[in-house]
Formats: sequence, C-alpha cells, structure tokens
Amino acid sequence: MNGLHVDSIIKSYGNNQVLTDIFISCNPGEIVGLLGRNGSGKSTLLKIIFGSLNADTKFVKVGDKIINGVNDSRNLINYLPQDGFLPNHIKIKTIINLFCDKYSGEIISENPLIRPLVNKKCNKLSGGEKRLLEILLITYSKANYVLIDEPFNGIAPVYKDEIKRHIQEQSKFKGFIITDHDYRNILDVASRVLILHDGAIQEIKNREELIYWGYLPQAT
Amino acid sequence: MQSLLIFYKKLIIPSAIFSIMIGMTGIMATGTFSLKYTGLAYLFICPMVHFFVYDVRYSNDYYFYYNLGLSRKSLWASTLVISGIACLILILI
Repeated sequence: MNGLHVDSIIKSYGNNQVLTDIFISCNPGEIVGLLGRNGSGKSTLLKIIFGSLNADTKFVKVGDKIINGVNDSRNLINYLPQDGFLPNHIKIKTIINLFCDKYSGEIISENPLIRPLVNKKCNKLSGGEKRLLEILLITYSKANYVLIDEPFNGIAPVYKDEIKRHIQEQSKFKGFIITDHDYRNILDVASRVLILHDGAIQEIKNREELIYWGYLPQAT
Repeated sequence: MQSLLIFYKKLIIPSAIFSIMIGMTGIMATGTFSLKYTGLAYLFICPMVHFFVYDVRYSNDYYFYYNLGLSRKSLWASTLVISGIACLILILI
C-alpha cells in the first residue's frame, strides 16, 4: 500500500486564511492525531483531504493516484464527519454490507453492542449507538486511509477504550488521521501528534508543547 | 448500483405522490387523468425533492454516498437522468 501525501493546502473563507500551506503525510500503520482549538480548521483540512471540500490550492495523493474529488478517493480514503452521516431509512445490515468486506462485516455484526441493532433502521438508534456504529463502519471499511472527525464525542467512557482498540487493530492494515477535543485519548492512541495552530501544522512531542502552542492552559 | 437505489429510495415516493396530484389536476382540464401531465410534473418535482431532502434537510447524508465513491455531481446527474427517463415513459404510454 502507498502513502498518503498531502501538500500545499491553502484555504480561505473570505478574508480569513484558515489553512496556510499545510503538509501532512500518513503511512499504513500510522495513527496521526490532529489537535487544534475550535475554529482552527481541523474539519476543513480533513474534508479537503477527502475531496468533499475545495481548497484555494491543494495536492493530495495516495501512492501515484492524485485525489481531486470524492470520485478519486473511493476505496482509498474514507471520512467520518463529526455530525454523522448514516441515512435514516436503511437497515444496519445493509449499510454494513455496503461499507465492508465479508470478514470485516462479520466483525462489526458480531460486536455485542451492534448485534442487537443489525435488523433495525438507523432512525431507531440513539445518537450514541449511531456514532459507535459509524466509527466501526469507517474503521473497518475497505479504504486504505481513514479520516475521523471527533470519534470520542458523545461516546460513553466505557466504549472509548473499545474504539481505541479497534482503531489500533485496523491500523496494522491502514493509516488513520483522527481529530478530537478529547486530547488524552488522542495522545493515548496516536503514533504521531500534530497541532493546527494559526493555519499551520506543528508536530507535538510531549504534553508541554500543547501548553506552549496555546492548546492547553498553563495551569494544567 | 445498490447505493444509487438507496439514494433514490428517499426521493421516489414523495416525487410520485406530488406528480400524481398534479396529474390529477389535469382532470379539470381534460376530464381524464393525464399520464403526460404526471410525467412532466415528475421531471420537475423529482429534482426539487432531491434539493429539499439532500441539500437542505439531510445534507450530511451526502457523506455516506461520498464514502461509496458517489459525488454530489454524479448523484444530481442520476436524479436528472432518472426523472427524464420516467417522464419519457409516462408521456409515451
């Protein structure tokens, strides 16, 4: 499998330049954690990488294939937005079959949290159940690279460890870029941590650097 | 293909209902139910329902289809093509 290479991303909203010449790379086996304050451009960056949002300039490729839009990223990059994406009118088992191959589909269907829900439609699930299902679907999907926007948001603490375990298992076969405000879980699971600050990316080596870059308060 | 069917499932019933209602107004003009009016109505109603359902009400659903490799342009193209074909069929019957 080839690496995900993201380069020269510039994005402005009107006169406000949100992303300035961003460079990120991700290889299979890597879990890249992306931190940043509210409004720093994390979701914007993930959407640009995925191809669902245009940028002023961008260069995204997986191996030799250049990704311009969502048509190009099929089975290469999948993205889970922070507000969810499951249509209400389909059964869970249909969605699992669409997203995953047979083996991964069985892993999700046999999960004790998902098994009781398999024959239900998405509109019968609670918000937390939907979110958990979405995370498992995207993690076990056929794509080589998975971008997840706030996977720990709205999830009970007892399930966060399970989510981390699934991500770490699947990271043997694919690359992940994950962003969340629950920085402790991101630091726990990520093999490399980046912070988006003033439109630029900085690599974080330790917790003190999060304070230095203004992500955590001084007294923490 | 299955993903397109799933996408279209949300549009077909409301589009058909509104189109049939408009077709029934043809009774006032011609005295009989008109498939031609229904087909022409479907040609315009289906894209309007698509816009309301997916661009206004459930815009996040697009990400589900993006992850399956279907862009917004291709989904719109399929709506226009399918409603065009349905219109032609109803006009020619």
